[in-house]
Amino acid sequence: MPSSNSLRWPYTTQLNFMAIVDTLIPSSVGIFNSGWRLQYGGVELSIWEYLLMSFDNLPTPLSNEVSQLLDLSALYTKKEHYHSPFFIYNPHLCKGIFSKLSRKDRLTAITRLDNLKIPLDILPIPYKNNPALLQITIDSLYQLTVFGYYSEWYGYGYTRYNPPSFRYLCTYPVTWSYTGYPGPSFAYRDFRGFLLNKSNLKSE
Amino acid sequence: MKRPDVIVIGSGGGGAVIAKELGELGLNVLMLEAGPWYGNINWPSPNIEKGGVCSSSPDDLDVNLFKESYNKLENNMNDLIAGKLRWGPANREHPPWNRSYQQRGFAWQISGVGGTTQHYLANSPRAFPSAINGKWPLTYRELIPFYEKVEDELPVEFAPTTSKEELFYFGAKKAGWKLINTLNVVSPGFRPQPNAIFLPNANLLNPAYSEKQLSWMEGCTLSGHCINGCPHGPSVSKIAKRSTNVSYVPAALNTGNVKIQPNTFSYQVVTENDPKEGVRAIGVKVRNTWTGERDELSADCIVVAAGAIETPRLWLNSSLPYNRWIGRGLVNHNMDMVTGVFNENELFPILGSNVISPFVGHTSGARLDYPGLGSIQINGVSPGLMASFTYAFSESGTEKSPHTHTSGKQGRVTGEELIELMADYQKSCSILIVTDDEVDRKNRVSTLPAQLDENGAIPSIHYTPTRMTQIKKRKLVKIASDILLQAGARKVIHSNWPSGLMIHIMSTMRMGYVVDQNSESYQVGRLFIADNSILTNGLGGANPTLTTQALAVRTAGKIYKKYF
Repeated sequence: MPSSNSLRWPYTTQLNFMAIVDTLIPSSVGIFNSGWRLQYGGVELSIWEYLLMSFDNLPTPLSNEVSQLLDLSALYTKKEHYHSPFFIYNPHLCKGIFSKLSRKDRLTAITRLDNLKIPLDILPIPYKNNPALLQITIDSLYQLTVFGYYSEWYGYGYTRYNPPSFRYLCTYPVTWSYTGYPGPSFAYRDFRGFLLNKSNLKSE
Repeated sequence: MKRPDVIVIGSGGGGAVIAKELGELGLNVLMLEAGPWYGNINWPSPNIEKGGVCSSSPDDLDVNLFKESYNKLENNMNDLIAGKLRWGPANREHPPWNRSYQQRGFAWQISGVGGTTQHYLANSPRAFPSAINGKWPLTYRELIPFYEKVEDELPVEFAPTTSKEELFYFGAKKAGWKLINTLNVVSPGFRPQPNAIFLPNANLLNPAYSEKQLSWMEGCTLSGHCINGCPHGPSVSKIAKRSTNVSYVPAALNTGNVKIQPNTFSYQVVTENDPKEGVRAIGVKVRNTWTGERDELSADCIVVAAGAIETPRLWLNSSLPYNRWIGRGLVNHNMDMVTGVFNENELFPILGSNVISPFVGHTSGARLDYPGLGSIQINGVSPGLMASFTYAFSESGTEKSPHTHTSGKQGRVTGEELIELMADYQKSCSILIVTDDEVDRKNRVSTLPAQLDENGAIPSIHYTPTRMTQIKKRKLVKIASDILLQAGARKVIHSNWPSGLMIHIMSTMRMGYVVDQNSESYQVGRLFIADNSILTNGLGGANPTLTTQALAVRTAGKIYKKYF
């Protein structure tokens, strides 16, 4: 659950970032011959916090604006769903509604932004009428979520709130076990010879 | 300090080479670098405190500090926003430096001594002769002696075979391609990557040495960390992967004539109008990235090697004379990624193993070159980078693409499908697509006066691939998919990257248009350029670093001859 360190972000922004991460990498159960195993999702492994910190470490912090984008897109998704003729966007009342959608609808809402299927002139600054930045942001949501998840991020434990130069691995990054990555290495002995070497180049 | 003969702006793939060459010729060189310096006793905590001002002695290099910084953890090293290897100031609590992109994508560049070669894969092919002859103001033959010198000094060696290369060669042969036994590529075929990486340690298979012991000896240990920053070797100058911070920088310091000043952002070239020489460069205005202090430095010649985005930015922000090709003609090899996922029973007969383990060996150890189309290159990175570039980055979106065919898939992957694919990480291998990208004047780096950072107007990047470039890319994607399928892949995923991904960034200050064949500006005397921006075109799809380095060697001789 969110710790006191998370209080720096509005609660609805946190909910929306948890919801993105849960959409892209939910927790799941793997079935094997030997039994079953729970694979933690991005929410349990604090990837949403990595995402929030990343967006706020940009030259212009953007986590709240991204959260607003998601809410707007969620409204459009809902509107389409219910064929609602009335549509009034109130940024205060609608905060966090992205997180209330089903996973499927959340993915639809993200894809709507990705495909620019939303009026660009109603978006918050700096996204207003800036389709390239909107698409770059959606790309970053995907890329940072999976990079955070499959890298050593979770292993930083309580030091993850520290500035980057003061983080230390305090626990095993459990996602390494999901991919079979052994972590950093000194050497591998998988040397299978050379197909060519410089001395046997044809004379030129 | 003594007034330098030459100031070099940027210590990356080109800057470090020209600094060393000029130092060897006896000139006094000051090399300025915007980012940090890892592995130097004057900056014991390079990301935490400002440390010293400059360093000019090889005795300042400290391999223990270097290994402490380069800890091989991908989030710590490669994160584009707050990682050690990013485009930004040394202090990681500050944001990266901003760029404005006019299309989806981003530039993957690194500040710091060694520049982007800190994370490069050390792939060092020569240009394809057909991309040079008749298209550049130089001939391929004229470049050869300079290629040979750089190949000898780095050194460049053919990559050893590990599992992923073995699989690539197997698939390529089965698909009908031939081995090309050459450095001068005139016909299509596959070959090991010519890489600027030491040969493997001769004791790598000797169980008497522990893996840790091997990592303190000379020679590549096949540990697979090229992209995360290679820290393996007995001293800074003997680190296995030959980024310029461990090759040309130590060699430059060894000349006794080169001083390097990190944490120094150059934001303006100073010129004067000389009655005899006309407009000429006489100095540089700089800003310290820790203190914000500004300074003006002067020299007899200025070499700009700030990379193909910052070099045109510097020109534009310095209000140097108009030239219709400044920042114009940007090419990026319009890259893409194709990934194969294999079954154990298909791998075993080929590899004698159930897995590929893409994280083993040179990050990229094999390639197929096709003059006229470009090249494709095997690629095996740590899992966070793999997931984020292979399965999370696409122009095709997340929905099922109409181009999907039975054996393959295009676009992003999420949820359980992603989890399953990444569970097969050890049985996956990727191929990078590097397209022979056609120069188009519309593709450019410009500046937006309204968007400023502490160093002036920020660069704005426009890139749309030409129709010909797109056709070539599609052909290369098909060749790569075919090789993976021939090797037995049960599934092939085509990422379909946005075209605006900038990894090989070239040709924004083209030779023959902005600089002459000696890399000197046509319009500003004593101003030379020594980075990827002067490449007249994208070299046919060969990785640019070696050619830039060869040109830097050549330019050093020209500077010496003309002005000293």
